[in-house]
Amino acid sequence: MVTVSEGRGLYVTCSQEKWDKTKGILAQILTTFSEKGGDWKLDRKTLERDHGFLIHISRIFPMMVPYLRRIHHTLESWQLGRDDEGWKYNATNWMQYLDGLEADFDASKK
Amino acid sequence: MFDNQDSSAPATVLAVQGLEADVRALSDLFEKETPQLRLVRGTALMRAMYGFSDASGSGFGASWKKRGKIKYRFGLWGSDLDESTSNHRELRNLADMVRCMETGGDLKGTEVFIFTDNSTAERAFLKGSSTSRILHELVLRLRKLEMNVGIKLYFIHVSGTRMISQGSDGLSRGKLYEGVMRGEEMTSFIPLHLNALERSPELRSWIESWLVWNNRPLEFLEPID
Repeated sequence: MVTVSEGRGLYVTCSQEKWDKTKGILAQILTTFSEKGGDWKLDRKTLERDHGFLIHISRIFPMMVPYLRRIHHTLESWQLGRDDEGWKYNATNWMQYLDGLEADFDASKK
Repeated sequence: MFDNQDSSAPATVLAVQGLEADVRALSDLFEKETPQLRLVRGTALMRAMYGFSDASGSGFGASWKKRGKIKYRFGLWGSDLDESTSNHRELRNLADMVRCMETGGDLKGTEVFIFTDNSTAERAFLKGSSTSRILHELVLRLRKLEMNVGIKLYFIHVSGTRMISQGSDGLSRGKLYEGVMRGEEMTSFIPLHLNALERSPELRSWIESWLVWNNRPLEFLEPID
């Protein structure tokens, strides 16, 4: 939604409905955190849907973009080769990971 | 029906470290009850403000131009920042400066250009986050201000020598008679209002030297064209 305020400039914003939906999504995620504490698990399908909507809203408010990264990392946290913050392993991390597997394998043979 | 979902994906996922902090940051950006306006373009050049900010080990200084007048702030850091890093002090000074500019009111619709010699502060703001919790919170403070007040902030890195000649470096050391403080024009230190041809007169003849075709004269277009 684009709005022009006479003598004030050109602005963009979203509808009240979308604003409220965004607030609701964020509040809902935080509620699940306070309920589950340290072992925080989220429903993947719901988070995926919410993530998509937040990306849509971030086109209007790009200052949101950096704070969407960890939601994306959470969605992909089940994939192999990611650290505790969800970043993909680099070559060194992979080497360490494979060395660890090799050591475990050797230990199991003894 | 075609299903492009990964069938091996689990029903639940484990939250990564830092997810809570990010969601709280987003929640802070959306704390108002009604949709906020994001400024895309200010009304005119008169709605742009230029400011410089610098922090030294013991003090801070900042100067900006508002309605043709130079405004400034300077002082010494309190003991609570004794153990802080220079990056923290620089970004803190920038955040305090913008808040100070906003206190006067009527900033809505203004594009604010802030110049700093600290590239970490510039990058943290541009990126929107920092691995340092303190810097991250300061960036968030600036982003919230940008959203709630309706301004557009630009942080631009300039060299330390430019900062010295502009006078904000002196301000952070208590010197009140350098650069803009002794009457020099703010825009002379940041010639953003000049185009490339105005900044470098040799550029026109250099372009003409390789772009002439059939001896036809070149026409340099202006924004108005």
